[in-house]
Amino acid sequence: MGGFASLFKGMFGKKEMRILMVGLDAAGKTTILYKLKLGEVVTTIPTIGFNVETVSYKNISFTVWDVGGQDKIRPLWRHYFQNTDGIIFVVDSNDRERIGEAKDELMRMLAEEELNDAALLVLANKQDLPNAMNAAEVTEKLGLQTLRLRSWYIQATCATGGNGLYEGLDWLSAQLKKSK
Amino acid sequence: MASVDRNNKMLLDLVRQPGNNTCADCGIPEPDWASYTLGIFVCLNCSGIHRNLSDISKVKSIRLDFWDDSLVQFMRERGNSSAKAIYEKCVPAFFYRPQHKDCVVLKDQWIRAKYERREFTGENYPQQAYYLFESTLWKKGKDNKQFLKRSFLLSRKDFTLRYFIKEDSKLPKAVISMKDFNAVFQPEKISHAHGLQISYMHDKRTRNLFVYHEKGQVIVSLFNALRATRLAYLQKKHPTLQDNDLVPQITGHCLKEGYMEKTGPTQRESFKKRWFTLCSMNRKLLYFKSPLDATELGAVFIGTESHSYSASESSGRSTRGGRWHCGVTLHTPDREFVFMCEQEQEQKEWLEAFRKVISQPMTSEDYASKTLFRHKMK
Repeated sequence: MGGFASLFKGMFGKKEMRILMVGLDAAGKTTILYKLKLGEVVTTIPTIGFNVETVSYKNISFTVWDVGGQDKIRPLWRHYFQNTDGIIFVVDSNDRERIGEAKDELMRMLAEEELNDAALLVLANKQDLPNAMNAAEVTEKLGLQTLRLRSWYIQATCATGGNGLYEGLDWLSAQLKKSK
Repeated sequence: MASVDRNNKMLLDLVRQPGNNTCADCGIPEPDWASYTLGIFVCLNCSGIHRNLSDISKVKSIRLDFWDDSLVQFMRERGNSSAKAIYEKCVPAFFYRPQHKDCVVLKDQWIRAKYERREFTGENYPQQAYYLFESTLWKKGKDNKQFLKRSFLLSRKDFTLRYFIKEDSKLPKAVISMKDFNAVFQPEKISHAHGLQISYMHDKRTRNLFVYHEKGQVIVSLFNALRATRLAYLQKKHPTLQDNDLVPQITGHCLKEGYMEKTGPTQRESFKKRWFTLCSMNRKLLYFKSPLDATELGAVFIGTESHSYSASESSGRSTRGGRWHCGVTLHTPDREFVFMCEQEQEQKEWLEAFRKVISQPMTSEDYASKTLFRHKMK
Protein backbone atom coordinates (compact mmCIF):
# COMPACT_ATOMS: atom_id res chain seq x y z
CA MET A 1 0.00 0.00 0.00
CA GLY A 2 1.27 3.48 -0.85
CA GLY A 3 2.21 6.05 1.76
CA PHE A 4 -0.90 8.10 1.26
CA ALA A 5 -3.18 5.07 1.44
CA SER A 6 -1.63 3.82 4.65
CA LEU A 7 -1.81 7.30 6.16
CA PHE A 8 -5.45 7.46 5.14
CA LYS A 9 -6.10 4.07 6.68
CA GLY A 10 -4.29 5.15 9.83
CA MET A 11 -6.51 8.19 10.16
CA PHE A 12 -9.88 6.76 9.29
CA GLY A 13 -9.59 3.00 8.81
CA LYS A 14 -9.63 0.21 11.27
CA LYS A 15 -6.47 -0.36 13.29
CA GLU A 16 -5.31 -3.85 14.18
CA MET A 17 -3.76 -5.23 17.32
CA ARG A 18 -2.42 -8.72 17.89
CA ILE A 19 -3.01 -9.89 21.45
CA LEU A 20 -1.69 -12.99 23.18
CA MET A 21 -3.79 -14.07 26.17
CA VAL A 22 -2.10 -16.47 28.59
CA GLY A 23 -2.15 -17.43 32.25
CA LEU A 24 -2.37 -20.55 34.43
CA ASP A 25 -5.06 -23.14 33.64
CA ALA A 26 -8.59 -22.31 34.84
CA ALA A 27 -7.84 -18.57 35.16
CA GLY A 28 -10.78 -17.76 32.87
CA LYS A 29 -9.05 -17.00 29.53
CA THR A 30 -11.56 -18.76 27.28
CA THR A 31 -14.51 -17.32 29.19
CA ILE A 32 -13.03 -13.82 28.70
CA LEU A 33 -12.44 -14.44 24.98
CA TYR A 34 -16.03 -15.50 24.30
CA LYS A 35 -17.55 -12.91 26.61
CA LEU A 36 -15.76 -10.29 24.46
CA LYS A 37 -16.62 -11.97 21.18
CA LEU A 38 -20.24 -13.01 21.82
CA GLY A 39 -21.26 -11.05 24.90
CA GLU A 40 -22.29 -14.38 26.40
CA VAL A 41 -21.01 -16.70 29.09
CA VAL A 42 -20.23 -19.96 27.31
CA THR A 43 -19.59 -23.33 28.89
CA THR A 44 -15.88 -23.92 28.55
CA ILE A 45 -13.66 -26.96 28.77
CA PRO A 46 -9.89 -26.80 29.34
CA THR A 47 -8.21 -25.47 26.19
CA ILE A 48 -5.83 -27.99 24.65
CA GLY A 49 -4.11 -25.90 22.00
CA PHE A 50 -5.66 -22.49 21.36
CA ASN A 51 -8.72 -20.45 20.44
CA VAL A 52 -8.46 -17.35 18.29
CA GLU A 53 -11.09 -14.69 17.67
CA THR A 54 -11.15 -11.15 16.38
CA VAL A 55 -12.95 -8.68 18.56
CA SER A 56 -13.83 -5.20 17.23
CA TYR A 57 -13.92 -2.41 19.78
CA LYS A 58 -13.66 1.36 19.27
CA ASN A 59 -12.50 1.01 15.67
CA ILE A 60 -9.70 -1.39 16.61
CA SER A 61 -9.69 -4.97 15.51
CA PHE A 62 -8.15 -7.08 18.28
CA THR A 63 -6.97 -10.52 17.21
CA VAL A 64 -6.91 -12.41 20.48
CA TRP A 65 -5.02 -15.71 20.79
CA ASP A 66 -6.17 -17.69 23.83
CA VAL A 67 -3.62 -20.41 24.57
CA GLY A 68 -4.08 -23.34 26.98
CA GLY A 69 -2.43 -23.06 30.39
CA GLN A 70 -1.72 -26.65 31.50
CA ASP A 71 1.81 -27.16 32.94
CA LYS A 72 3.28 -29.05 30.02
CA ILE A 73 1.85 -26.86 27.29
CA ARG A 74 3.03 -23.54 28.77
CA PRO A 75 6.39 -23.87 26.94
CA LEU A 76 4.33 -23.65 23.72
CA TRP A 77 3.30 -20.07 24.51
CA ARG A 78 6.55 -18.82 22.93
CA HIS A 79 5.38 -20.00 19.51
CA TYR A 80 2.80 -17.21 19.64
CA PHE A 81 5.19 -14.40 20.75
CA GLN A 82 6.18 -13.07 17.33
CA ASN A 83 4.52 -9.76 16.34
CA THR A 84 2.53 -9.60 19.57
CA ASP A 85 1.45 -6.02 20.34
CA GLY A 86 -0.03 -6.80 23.71
CA ILE A 87 -0.10 -9.59 26.29
CA ILE A 88 -3.17 -10.22 28.41
CA PHE A 89 -2.08 -12.18 31.48
CA VAL A 90 -5.13 -13.60 33.27
CA VAL A 91 -4.95 -14.43 36.98
CA ASP A 92 -7.49 -16.33 39.07
CA SER A 93 -7.59 -13.84 41.98
CA ASN A 94 -9.19 -16.48 44.17
CA ASP A 95 -6.30 -18.93 43.79
CA ARG A 96 -3.90 -17.79 46.51
CA GLU A 97 -2.07 -21.13 46.41
CA ARG A 98 -0.84 -20.69 42.87
CA ILE A 99 -0.26 -16.92 42.65
CA GLY A 100 3.49 -17.57 43.10
CA GLU A 101 3.42 -20.01 40.20
CA ALA A 102 1.61 -17.36 38.14
CA LYS A 103 4.36 -14.85 38.96
CA ASP A 104 7.09 -17.29 37.87
CA GLU A 105 5.36 -17.92 34.55
CA LEU A 106 4.81 -14.22 33.94
CA MET A 107 8.42 -13.24 34.71
CA ARG A 108 9.79 -16.10 32.61
CA MET A 109 7.71 -14.92 29.68
CA LEU A 110 8.61 -11.23 30.04
CA ALA A 111 12.30 -12.13 29.90
CA GLU A 112 11.86 -13.18 26.26
CA GLU A 113 13.34 -10.67 23.83
CA GLU A 114 10.54 -11.09 21.32
CA LEU A 115 8.13 -9.55 23.81
CA ASN A 116 10.27 -6.47 24.64
CA ASP A 117 7.84 -4.08 22.97
CA ALA A 118 4.62 -5.76 24.02
CA ALA A 119 2.32 -3.95 26.46
CA LEU A 120 1.20 -6.00 29.47
CA LEU A 121 -2.39 -6.02 30.68
CA VAL A 122 -2.97 -8.12 33.80
CA LEU A 123 -6.57 -9.12 34.43
CA ALA A 124 -7.23 -9.93 38.10
CA ASN A 125 -10.17 -12.17 37.27
CA LYS A 126 -12.89 -13.87 39.34
CA GLN A 127 -13.52 -10.78 41.47
CA ASP A 128 -17.04 -12.10 42.11
CA LEU A 129 -15.66 -14.80 44.43
CA PRO A 130 -15.77 -13.74 48.09
CA ASN A 131 -12.17 -14.59 48.87
CA ALA A 132 -10.66 -12.94 45.78
CA MET A 133 -7.50 -10.81 46.13
CA ASN A 134 -8.03 -7.25 44.93
CA ALA A 135 -5.97 -5.63 42.18
CA ALA A 136 -3.48 -4.11 44.65
CA GLU A 137 -2.83 -7.47 46.27
CA VAL A 138 -2.39 -9.20 42.90
CA THR A 139 -0.01 -6.39 41.80
CA GLU A 140 2.13 -7.02 44.83
CA LYS A 141 2.06 -10.84 44.63
CA LEU A 142 3.03 -10.74 40.95
CA GLY A 143 5.78 -8.17 41.63
CA LEU A 144 4.49 -5.86 38.90
CA GLN A 145 6.00 -2.76 40.55
CA THR A 146 9.48 -4.21 39.92
CA LEU A 147 8.93 -4.17 36.14
CA ARG A 148 11.18 -1.71 34.28
CA LEU A 149 10.83 -0.49 30.69
CA ARG A 150 7.45 -2.10 30.33
CA SER A 151 4.10 -0.40 30.07
CA TRP A 152 1.74 -2.41 32.21
CA TYR A 153 -1.69 -2.06 33.72
CA ILE A 154 -3.81 -4.17 36.03
CA GLN A 155 -7.58 -4.37 35.83
CA ALA A 156 -9.93 -6.18 38.20
CA THR A 157 -12.43 -8.27 36.21
CA CYS A 158 -15.31 -10.66 36.50
CA ALA A 159 -15.48 -12.44 33.14
CA THR A 160 -18.90 -13.97 33.69
CA GLY A 161 -20.44 -10.56 34.46
CA GLY A 162 -18.23 -8.79 31.91
CA ASN A 163 -17.00 -6.27 34.51
CA GLY A 164 -13.65 -4.67 33.71
CA LEU A 165 -13.10 -6.31 30.33
CA TYR A 166 -13.69 -3.22 28.20
CA GLU A 167 -11.71 -1.04 30.60
CA GLY A 168 -8.81 -3.41 29.87
CA LEU A 169 -9.29 -3.06 26.11
CA ASP A 170 -9.44 0.74 26.52
CA TRP A 171 -6.00 0.70 28.09
CA LEU A 172 -4.61 -1.59 25.36
CA SER A 173 -5.98 0.64 22.61
CA ALA A 174 -4.36 3.69 24.24
CA GLN A 175 -1.02 1.85 24.13
CA LEU A 176 -1.47 1.18 20.42
CA LYS A 177 -1.98 4.90 19.75
CA LYS A 178 1.08 5.79 21.80
CA SER A 179 3.38 3.40 19.95
CA LYS A 180 2.28 4.39 16.42
CA MET B 1 11.87 -34.17 35.77
CA ALA B 2 12.24 -37.97 35.97
CA SER B 3 9.82 -38.21 38.90
CA VAL B 4 7.39 -35.98 37.05
CA ASP B 5 7.13 -38.34 34.12
CA ARG B 6 7.05 -41.27 36.50
CA ASN B 7 4.01 -39.72 38.23
CA ASN B 8 2.21 -39.19 34.93
CA LYS B 9 2.95 -42.82 34.04
CA MET B 10 1.59 -44.01 37.39
CA LEU B 11 -1.60 -42.02 36.76
CA LEU B 12 -1.93 -43.51 33.28
CA ASP B 13 -1.71 -46.97 34.88
CA LEU B 14 -4.24 -46.00 37.56
CA VAL B 15 -6.75 -44.69 35.04
CA ARG B 16 -6.76 -48.03 33.22
CA GLN B 17 -8.02 -49.86 36.30
CA PRO B 18 -11.68 -50.92 36.47
CA GLY B 19 -13.73 -48.13 38.00
CA ASN B 20 -11.23 -45.48 36.98
CA ASN B 21 -11.46 -46.36 33.29
CA THR B 22 -14.75 -44.53 32.82
CA CYS B 23 -15.55 -40.91 33.71
CA ALA B 24 -16.80 -40.72 37.34
CA ASP B 25 -19.60 -38.38 36.27
CA CYS B 26 -20.78 -39.24 32.74
CA GLY B 27 -19.41 -42.75 32.26
CA ILE B 28 -17.55 -42.21 28.99
CA PRO B 29 -14.52 -44.51 28.61
CA GLU B 30 -10.87 -43.38 28.88
CA PRO B 31 -11.05 -40.25 31.03
CA ASP B 32 -7.76 -38.34 31.05
CA TRP B 33 -8.45 -35.59 33.57
CA ALA B 34 -8.78 -35.84 37.34
CA SER B 35 -10.09 -33.88 40.28
CA TYR B 36 -7.21 -34.10 42.75
CA THR B 37 -9.29 -32.80 45.64
CA LEU B 38 -12.10 -35.34 45.17
CA GLY B 39 -9.79 -38.14 43.96
CA ILE B 40 -11.74 -39.01 40.81
CA PHE B 41 -10.91 -39.49 37.13
CA VAL B 42 -13.17 -37.56 34.75
CA CYS B 43 -13.37 -36.72 31.04
CA LEU B 44 -12.36 -33.38 29.52
CA ASN B 45 -15.98 -32.16 29.35
CA CYS B 46 -16.79 -32.98 32.97
CA SER B 47 -13.46 -31.44 34.05
CA GLY B 48 -14.78 -28.19 32.56
CA ILE B 49 -17.76 -28.37 34.93
CA HIS B 50 -15.54 -29.20 37.92
CA ARG B 51 -13.49 -26.04 37.24
CA ASN B 52 -16.56 -24.00 38.22
CA LEU B 53 -16.60 -25.59 41.68
CA SER B 54 -13.12 -24.48 42.68
CA ASP B 55 -13.88 -24.55 46.42
CA ILE B 56 -14.37 -28.30 46.41
CA SER B 57 -12.85 -29.56 43.18
CA LYS B 58 -9.58 -28.77 41.42
CA VAL B 59 -8.68 -30.48 38.18
CA LYS B 60 -5.51 -31.40 36.35
CA SER B 61 -4.82 -33.26 33.15
CA ILE B 62 -3.13 -36.60 33.80
CA ARG B 63 -1.05 -36.06 30.67
CA LEU B 64 -0.53 -32.29 30.37
CA ASP B 65 0.03 -31.29 34.01
CA PHE B 66 2.72 -32.01 36.58
CA TRP B 67 1.68 -34.04 39.63
CA ASP B 68 3.22 -34.12 43.10
CA ASP B 69 3.84 -37.50 44.72
CA SER B 70 1.28 -36.77 47.45
CA LEU B 71 -1.49 -36.07 44.93
CA VAL B 72 -0.76 -39.27 43.02
CA GLN B 73 -0.87 -41.13 46.33
CA PHE B 74 -4.30 -39.63 47.09
CA MET B 75 -5.60 -40.60 43.62
CA ARG B 76 -4.41 -44.15 44.30
CA GLU B 77 -6.16 -44.28 47.69
CA ARG B 78 -9.43 -42.73 46.50
CA GLY B 79 -10.26 -43.48 42.85
CA ASN B 80 -13.67 -43.59 41.19
CA SER B 81 -15.08 -46.64 43.00
CA SER B 82 -14.44 -45.38 46.54
CA ALA B 83 -15.63 -41.89 45.59
CA LYS B 84 -18.81 -43.41 44.21
CA ALA B 85 -19.38 -45.29 47.48
CA ILE B 86 -19.30 -41.93 49.27
CA TYR B 87 -20.96 -39.48 46.87
CA GLU B 88 -23.46 -41.84 45.26
CA LYS B 89 -24.25 -43.84 48.39
CA CYS B 90 -28.00 -43.26 48.15
CA VAL B 91 -29.08 -41.88 44.79
CA PRO B 92 -32.90 -42.16 44.59
CA ALA B 93 -34.10 -44.61 41.90
CA PHE B 94 -35.90 -41.83 40.00
CA PHE B 95 -32.88 -39.52 39.85
CA TYR B 96 -31.58 -39.09 36.33
CA ARG B 97 -27.92 -40.03 35.93
CA PRO B 98 -26.65 -38.14 32.88
CA GLN B 99 -24.62 -39.76 30.13
CA HIS B 100 -21.91 -38.20 28.04
CA LYS B 101 -24.29 -37.17 25.24
CA ASP B 102 -26.71 -35.38 27.61
CA CYS B 103 -26.93 -31.60 27.72
CA VAL B 104 -24.63 -29.50 29.90
CA VAL B 105 -27.23 -28.42 32.47
CA LEU B 106 -28.01 -32.05 33.37
CA LYS B 107 -24.34 -32.91 33.85
CA ASP B 108 -23.60 -29.64 35.67
CA GLN B 109 -26.42 -30.20 38.16
CA TRP B 110 -25.57 -33.89 38.64
CA ILE B 111 -22.01 -32.91 39.54
CA ARG B 112 -23.19 -30.11 41.85
CA ALA B 113 -25.79 -32.37 43.50
CA LYS B 114 -23.14 -35.03 44.12
CA TYR B 115 -20.18 -33.04 45.38
CA GLU B 116 -21.33 -29.50 46.21
CA ARG B 117 -24.73 -30.17 47.81
CA ARG B 118 -23.79 -33.75 48.82
CA GLU B 119 -27.36 -34.87 48.19
CA PHE B 120 -26.56 -38.57 47.98
CA THR B 121 -24.09 -39.12 50.84
CA GLY B 122 -26.90 -40.06 53.22
CA GLU B 123 -26.04 -37.19 55.59
CA ASN B 124 -28.66 -34.56 55.15
CA TYR B 125 -30.65 -34.42 51.96
CA PRO B 126 -34.27 -35.58 52.18
CA GLN B 127 -35.70 -37.31 49.11
CA GLN B 128 -38.99 -35.62 50.01
CA ALA B 129 -37.52 -32.46 48.52
CA TYR B 130 -38.51 -34.00 45.19
CA TYR B 131 -42.05 -34.93 46.22
CA LEU B 132 -43.60 -31.49 46.01
CA PHE B 133 -42.59 -29.02 43.41
CA GLU B 134 -43.85 -25.53 42.87
CA SER B 135 -42.20 -22.99 40.63
CA THR B 136 -42.73 -20.26 38.10
CA LEU B 137 -41.37 -21.21 34.69
CA TRP B 138 -41.20 -19.51 31.30
CA LYS B 139 -43.62 -21.38 29.04
CA LYS B 140 -43.97 -21.01 25.27
CA GLY B 141 -47.43 -19.95 24.10
CA LYS B 142 -49.44 -22.65 22.33
CA ASP B 143 -49.84 -20.78 19.06
CA ASN B 144 -47.09 -18.18 19.23
CA LYS B 145 -43.40 -17.97 19.95
CA GLN B 146 -43.70 -15.89 23.08
CA PHE B 147 -42.54 -17.27 26.42
CA LEU B 148 -44.64 -16.15 29.41
CA LYS B 149 -44.40 -16.84 33.14
CA ARG B 150 -46.67 -19.61 34.40
CA SER B 151 -46.95 -21.28 37.82
CA PHE B 152 -46.41 -25.02 37.90
CA LEU B 153 -47.49 -27.28 40.73
CA LEU B 154 -46.65 -30.97 40.91
CA SER B 155 -48.68 -33.26 43.13
CA ARG B 156 -47.71 -36.74 44.16
CA LYS B 157 -51.13 -37.35 45.72
CA ASP B 158 -52.97 -37.58 42.43
CA PHE B 159 -49.96 -37.92 40.11
CA THR B 160 -50.54 -34.67 38.27
CA LEU B 161 -48.75 -31.57 37.10
CA ARG B 162 -50.94 -28.44 37.00
CA TYR B 163 -50.14 -25.04 35.65
CA PHE B 164 -51.79 -21.71 36.27
CA ILE B 165 -51.91 -18.51 34.24
CA LYS B 166 -51.48 -16.39 37.37
CA GLU B 167 -49.97 -17.31 40.71
CA ASP B 168 -53.28 -16.67 42.49
CA SER B 169 -55.47 -18.37 39.85
CA LYS B 170 -57.94 -20.80 41.42
CA LEU B 171 -58.44 -22.95 38.35
CA PRO B 172 -55.52 -24.53 36.58
CA LYS B 173 -55.07 -23.98 32.82
CA ALA B 174 -54.25 -27.67 32.52
CA VAL B 175 -54.12 -30.77 34.69
CA ILE B 176 -51.53 -33.14 33.27
CA SER B 177 -51.62 -36.80 34.19
CA MET B 178 -48.48 -38.88 34.64
CA LYS B 179 -49.97 -41.51 32.35
CA ASP B 180 -48.43 -41.30 28.84
CA PHE B 181 -46.14 -38.59 30.14
CA ASN B 182 -42.64 -37.68 29.03
CA ALA B 183 -40.11 -34.95 29.78
CA VAL B 184 -36.84 -34.41 27.95
CA PHE B 185 -34.27 -31.63 27.76
CA GLN B 186 -34.24 -29.96 24.33
CA PRO B 187 -31.85 -26.99 24.61
CA GLU B 188 -31.22 -26.67 20.86
CA LYS B 189 -34.84 -26.92 19.78
CA ILE B 190 -35.99 -24.44 22.45
CA SER B 191 -32.89 -22.21 21.97
CA HIS B 192 -32.29 -22.06 25.71
CA ALA B 193 -29.62 -24.00 27.64
CA HIS B 194 -32.28 -25.00 30.21
CA GLY B 195 -35.09 -25.80 27.74
CA LEU B 196 -37.32 -28.72 28.74
CA GLN B 197 -40.01 -30.36 26.60
CA ILE B 198 -42.97 -31.90 28.46
CA SER B 199 -45.29 -34.18 26.46
CA TYR B 200 -48.59 -35.79 27.44
CA MET B 201 -51.79 -37.07 25.82
CA HIS B 202 -54.76 -34.77 25.49
CA ASP B 203 -57.84 -35.74 23.45
CA LYS B 204 -55.95 -38.64 21.85
CA ARG B 205 -53.27 -36.29 20.61
CA THR B 206 -49.87 -35.42 21.94
CA ARG B 207 -49.54 -32.04 23.63
CA ASN B 208 -46.06 -30.57 23.87
CA LEU B 209 -45.15 -27.88 26.39
CA PHE B 210 -41.85 -26.02 26.11
CA VAL B 211 -40.52 -24.47 29.31
CA TYR B 212 -37.33 -23.17 30.89
CA HIS B 213 -36.09 -21.50 34.05
CA GLU B 214 -33.07 -19.20 34.29
CA LYS B 215 -31.60 -21.30 37.10
CA GLY B 216 -30.19 -24.67 36.12
CA GLN B 217 -30.87 -26.05 39.59
CA VAL B 218 -34.60 -25.24 39.38
CA ILE B 219 -35.18 -26.83 35.96
CA VAL B 220 -33.20 -29.98 36.79
CA SER B 221 -35.02 -30.26 40.16
CA LEU B 222 -38.32 -30.02 38.29
CA PHE B 223 -37.16 -32.71 35.88
CA ASN B 224 -36.23 -35.04 38.74
CA ALA B 225 -39.41 -34.20 40.67
CA LEU B 226 -41.42 -35.12 37.56
CA ARG B 227 -39.46 -38.36 37.37
CA ALA B 228 -40.15 -39.08 41.06
CA THR B 229 -43.88 -38.56 40.54
CA ARG B 230 -43.96 -40.60 37.36
CA LEU B 231 -42.08 -43.45 39.07
CA ALA B 232 -44.58 -43.38 41.96
CA TYR B 233 -47.37 -43.59 39.37
CA LEU B 234 -45.70 -46.54 37.60
CA GLN B 235 -45.13 -48.31 40.93
CA LYS B 236 -48.82 -48.01 41.73
CA LYS B 237 -49.82 -49.14 38.26
CA HIS B 238 -47.48 -52.16 38.23
CA PRO B 239 -47.29 -53.29 41.87
CA THR B 240 -45.52 -56.53 40.97
CA LEU B 241 -42.69 -54.96 38.97
CA GLN B 242 -39.34 -53.95 40.46
CA ASP B 243 -37.85 -50.46 40.22
CA ASN B 244 -35.20 -51.84 37.84
CA ASP B 245 -37.94 -52.62 35.31
CA LEU B 246 -39.77 -49.34 35.83
CA VAL B 247 -36.87 -46.86 35.80
CA PRO B 248 -36.25 -47.14 32.03
CA GLN B 249 -39.92 -46.28 31.45
CA ILE B 250 -39.95 -43.04 33.49
CA THR B 251 -38.85 -40.67 30.74
CA GLY B 252 -37.11 -41.25 27.43
CA HIS B 253 -35.26 -39.51 24.65
CA CYS B 254 -36.64 -39.50 21.16
CA LEU B 255 -35.03 -42.20 19.08
CA LYS B 256 -34.77 -39.78 16.14
CA GLU B 257 -36.01 -36.31 15.35
CA GLY B 258 -35.70 -34.08 12.29
CA TYR B 259 -37.12 -32.77 9.04
CA MET B 260 -38.26 -35.06 6.22
CA GLU B 261 -40.55 -34.48 3.27
CA LYS B 262 -43.74 -36.53 3.02
CA THR B 263 -46.40 -37.18 0.44
CA GLY B 264 -50.03 -38.24 0.90
CA PRO B 265 -51.77 -41.64 0.82
CA THR B 266 -51.94 -41.95 -3.00
CA GLN B 267 -48.26 -40.97 -3.22
CA ARG B 268 -49.26 -38.51 -5.94
CA GLU B 269 -49.66 -35.56 -3.57
CA SER B 270 -46.89 -33.01 -3.56
CA PHE B 271 -44.12 -33.45 -1.01
CA LYS B 272 -44.17 -31.19 2.03
CA LYS B 273 -41.42 -30.58 4.57
CA ARG B 274 -42.45 -31.67 8.07
CA TRP B 275 -40.77 -32.14 11.46
CA PHE B 276 -40.83 -35.80 12.54
CA THR B 277 -40.20 -37.40 15.91
CA LEU B 278 -39.91 -41.11 16.57
CA CYS B 279 -40.25 -42.37 20.11
CA SER B 280 -39.55 -45.99 21.05
CA MET B 281 -41.45 -45.70 24.35
CA ASN B 282 -44.84 -45.41 22.65
CA ARG B 283 -43.85 -46.77 19.18
CA LYS B 284 -45.17 -43.65 17.50
CA LEU B 285 -43.95 -41.59 14.59
CA LEU B 286 -45.39 -38.09 14.97
CA TYR B 287 -45.15 -35.25 12.49
CA PHE B 288 -45.48 -31.53 12.99
CA LYS B 289 -45.38 -28.46 10.81
CA SER B 290 -42.45 -27.14 12.86
CA PRO B 291 -40.34 -28.37 15.81
CA LEU B 292 -42.04 -26.29 18.52
CA ASP B 293 -45.64 -27.13 17.63
CA ALA B 294 -48.02 -27.89 20.49
CA THR B 295 -49.76 -30.83 18.77
CA GLU B 296 -48.96 -33.14 15.88
CA LEU B 297 -50.53 -32.98 12.42
CA GLY B 298 -50.56 -36.75 12.29
CA ALA B 299 -49.16 -39.97 13.72
CA VAL B 300 -48.34 -43.54 12.73
CA PHE B 301 -48.22 -46.48 15.12
CA ILE B 302 -45.29 -48.79 14.38
CA GLY B 303 -45.77 -52.49 15.12
CA THR B 304 -43.39 -55.43 14.65
CA GLU B 305 -42.26 -57.43 11.62
CA SER B 306 -44.75 -60.21 12.43
CA HIS B 307 -47.49 -57.60 12.13
CA SER B 308 -46.16 -56.75 8.63
CA TYR B 309 -44.27 -53.56 9.48
CA SER B 310 -40.96 -52.89 7.75
CA ALA B 311 -38.76 -50.04 6.54
CA SER B 312 -36.74 -49.84 3.33
CA GLU B 313 -34.63 -47.47 1.32
CA SER B 314 -36.28 -45.98 -1.73
CA SER B 315 -34.88 -44.03 -4.63
CA GLY B 316 -35.85 -40.45 -5.21
CA ARG B 317 -37.83 -40.82 -8.41
CA SER B 318 -40.08 -37.99 -9.50
CA THR B 319 -40.53 -36.09 -6.29
CA ARG B 320 -43.41 -33.75 -6.91
CA GLY B 321 -42.73 -30.48 -5.21
CA GLY B 322 -40.02 -32.02 -3.08
CA ARG B 323 -36.38 -30.99 -3.12
CA TRP B 324 -34.92 -33.97 -1.27
CA HIS B 325 -34.02 -37.32 -2.81
CA CYS B 326 -32.92 -39.80 -0.13
CA GLY B 327 -36.06 -41.85 0.36
CA VAL B 328 -37.26 -44.05 3.20
CA THR B 329 -40.42 -46.15 2.87
CA LEU B 330 -42.27 -47.32 5.94
CA HIS B 331 -44.54 -50.27 5.18
CA THR B 332 -47.52 -50.80 7.47
CA PRO B 333 -50.46 -53.22 6.99
CA ASP B 334 -52.66 -50.29 5.90
CA ARG B 335 -50.39 -48.03 3.95
CA GLU B 336 -46.94 -47.28 2.59
CA PHE B 337 -45.42 -44.04 3.77
CA VAL B 338 -42.75 -42.44 1.60
CA PHE B 339 -40.41 -39.93 3.24
CA MET B 340 -37.54 -37.98 1.69
CA CYS B 341 -34.42 -36.98 3.61
CA GLU B 342 -32.02 -34.24 2.61
CA GLN B 343 -28.88 -36.33 3.06
CA GLU B 344 -27.86 -39.97 2.96
CA GLN B 345 -26.73 -39.81 6.60
CA GLU B 346 -30.25 -38.76 7.66
CA GLN B 347 -31.76 -41.50 5.52
CA LYS B 348 -29.53 -44.08 7.19
CA GLU B 349 -30.39 -42.83 10.67
CA TRP B 350 -34.15 -42.88 10.02
CA LEU B 351 -33.94 -46.41 8.60
CA GLU B 352 -32.00 -47.56 11.64
CA ALA B 353 -34.48 -45.89 14.00
CA PHE B 354 -37.54 -47.41 12.26
CA ARG B 355 -35.93 -50.86 12.26
CA LYS B 356 -35.07 -50.53 15.93
CA VAL B 357 -38.71 -49.90 16.87
CA ILE B 358 -39.94 -52.66 14.53
CA SER B 359 -37.56 -55.19 16.08
CA GLN B 360 -38.60 -54.28 19.62
CA PRO B 361 -41.26 -56.70 21.00
CA MET B 362 -44.69 -55.21 21.73
CA THR B 363 -45.82 -54.91 25.33
CA SER B 364 -49.42 -55.37 26.46
CA GLU B 365 -49.68 -51.56 26.64
CA ASP B 366 -48.50 -51.25 23.07
CA TYR B 367 -51.35 -53.59 22.03
CA ALA B 368 -53.83 -51.49 23.98
CA SER B 369 -52.53 -48.26 22.49
CA LYS B 370 -52.62 -49.80 18.99
CA THR B 371 -56.31 -50.69 19.27
CA LEU B 372 -57.12 -47.20 20.47
CA PHE B 373 -55.00 -45.73 17.78
CA ARG B 374 -56.25 -45.01 14.31
CA HIS B 375 -53.87 -43.98 11.62
CA LYS B 376 -54.09 -40.28 11.64
CA MET B 377 -51.64 -39.38 8.95
CA LYS B 378 -53.16 -37.61 6.03
